Amino acid sequence: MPGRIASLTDRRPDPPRQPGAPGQLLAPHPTTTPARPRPFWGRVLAVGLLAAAYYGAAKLGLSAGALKGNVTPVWPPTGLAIAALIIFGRRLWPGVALGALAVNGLSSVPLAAACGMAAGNTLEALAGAYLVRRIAGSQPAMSRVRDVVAMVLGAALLSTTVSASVGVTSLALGGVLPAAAIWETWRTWWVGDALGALVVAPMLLAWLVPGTRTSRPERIEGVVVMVAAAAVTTIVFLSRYDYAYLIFPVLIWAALRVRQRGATMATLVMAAIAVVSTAAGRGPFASASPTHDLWILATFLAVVSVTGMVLAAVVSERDLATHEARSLSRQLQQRVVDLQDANRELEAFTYTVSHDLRAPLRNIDGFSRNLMKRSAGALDPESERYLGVIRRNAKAMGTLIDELLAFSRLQRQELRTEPVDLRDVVDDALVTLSSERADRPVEIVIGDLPTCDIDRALLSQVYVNLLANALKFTRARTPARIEIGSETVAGQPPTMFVRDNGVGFDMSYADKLFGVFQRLHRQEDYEGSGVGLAIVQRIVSRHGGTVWAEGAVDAGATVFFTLGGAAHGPAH
Amino acid sequence: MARPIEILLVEDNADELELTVGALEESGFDNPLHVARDGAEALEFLFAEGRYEGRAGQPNVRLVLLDLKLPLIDGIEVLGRLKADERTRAVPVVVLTSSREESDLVATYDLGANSYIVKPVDVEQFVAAISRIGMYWMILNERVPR
Repeated sequence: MPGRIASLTDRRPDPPRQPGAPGQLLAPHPTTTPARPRPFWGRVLAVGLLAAAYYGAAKLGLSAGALKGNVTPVWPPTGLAIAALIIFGRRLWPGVALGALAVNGLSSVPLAAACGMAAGNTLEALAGAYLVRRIAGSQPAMSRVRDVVAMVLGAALLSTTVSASVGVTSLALGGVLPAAAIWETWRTWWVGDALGALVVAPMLLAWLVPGTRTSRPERIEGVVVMVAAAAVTTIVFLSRYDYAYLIFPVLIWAALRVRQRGATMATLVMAAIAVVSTAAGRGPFASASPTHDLWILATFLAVVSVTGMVLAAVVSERDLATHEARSLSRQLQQRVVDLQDANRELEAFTYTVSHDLRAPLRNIDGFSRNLMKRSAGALDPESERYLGVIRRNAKAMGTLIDELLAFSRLQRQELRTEPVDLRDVVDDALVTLSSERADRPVEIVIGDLPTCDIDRALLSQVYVNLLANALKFTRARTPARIEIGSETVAGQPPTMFVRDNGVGFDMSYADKLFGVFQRLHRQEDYEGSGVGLAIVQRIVSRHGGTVWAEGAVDAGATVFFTLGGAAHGPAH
Repeated sequence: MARPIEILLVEDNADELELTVGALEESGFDNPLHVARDGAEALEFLFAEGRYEGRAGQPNVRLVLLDLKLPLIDGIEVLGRLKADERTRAVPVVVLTSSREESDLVATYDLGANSYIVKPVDVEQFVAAISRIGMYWMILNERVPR
């Protein structure tokens, strides 16, 4: 195997190290915070540490992970560099450049080619960090599927082509690489970097990007999972037979229980053992052909890595969604409690209004009456009239209070709906109002009316109010004519209406009709408090419907209303 | 019958009391009317305790007109104590109040109130209501024989 990898792995590998070692290499870094502008020497220190870590990771990758023919299926420095630039900022790129230069410069390639390769490594890390941040939208803690997509696409698949291309070109130009080997070298280079990005970077991100919390029991379970991962992977790779799929249950365990930190750590442990074993010629992927081994092992590790990450991210997202749903539900419960309190206060208030305001009015009326009786004939007519005005106003205020109470009660009253034929409701309302039309001819036409799921008592208030209005405002008509019915447009819920040929109203005031205490006529002409249509509107809206009116001065009025989805269809 | 048939009117507001008494007189009821100005007094009267301890035996009350909002012990508690005691259980209680509060309606009927009348603001209607209450409970209605 010619090229960069061959030239870099000429030296004898060191004894195998602990699989988790690359994580420890970054240990000094958390002391530097990316948010605050770092003083110059702090940055120099960070760059130096990154360069050292890069060099160490490269040595580790070369010593422990070179397959037969000196190819490295996982190139840890790539993952380390991308993760470092994502976490601590792309300003630390000189650390990558220095580390890469040390790795390549101390090998047997010509210096110019080594510089080119180092440039390729640095550009790769910069491109990877940029693309991942861009795709993930924020620092990826590997807790979202989007983070995983960013790592796979931006870091593993795209940024690694930079290093492979620049590096291979440098080697070719430096005369170290024969033209025939260019493609093969490029592929080998690329796959090593890609797996470095897939296996090493996510683990560093999962641990070092703030935002993930791992509880004490999770940490303990994490250690147990890691031991299990190491054990199972070791067994699989010591075995002669192809039991590779056995590691998936452990990976799934890690992802489900310790989420992204567990999944990425387990992946790293498994990858380390798999690479070391395969390099030593053991396990299901070791064969006579290094290229074959490389691709089979790389594919296997990529599948392990992506499976673990996606699973962990999905679990994390579910956890987050559950957490948010819980906190929302807590907020909602609090709101309900607040509203109940407010409602209770309102009830206490209306109780006071109904009890304490009505009694004095009755006294005003009662004692005025007593005074009238006692002084019968003794008072002058004007004084008698004054007493009459006092009594009339006391009664009027009593009526206002009663109607206001009825109106406010509507809001807190529970709807008791049942299927009711509106025709029955109308008939009842007409009986209730029979005294209002006893002394004059009123022509009443009742058309089709549907059966609806409604609160019968409330709907009967609607019809009593609407019909009382219709009777009141047709008082001067001979004959008065009131039409009650419904209209249905196909596919729409029916629209009920009450139409009269009374005094009507000016459409420019139509929006005032349904306000509380809104009146369009003088009290002397047409009595009433102005609550009737407000009550109608409230009842209709509580049934999910709307109410509106059409009319013209002296040309009658029509009130329309719907009842939301409550209607079953025409009954007549 | 040794003792005359009495009406107990429980009302704390002096003006309301005067109107109610006037309405009863206007309707022609000349039965002895006893007035209690708070819930505690009403109970003491009914059970011949406290201020009314000296009275010989149980008062012969045939009708209680009971306001709900009362000082010391409110009307609902008075009603509860009265209906829970076998000596007074059979005495008709007409709740006479300004409030149409649903919770009051439910509570009073639960406790065994015989009637619930919302006092109209219009005094003519009020007098008519008092007259009808008296007519029904004092004359038409048959009481439990003692």
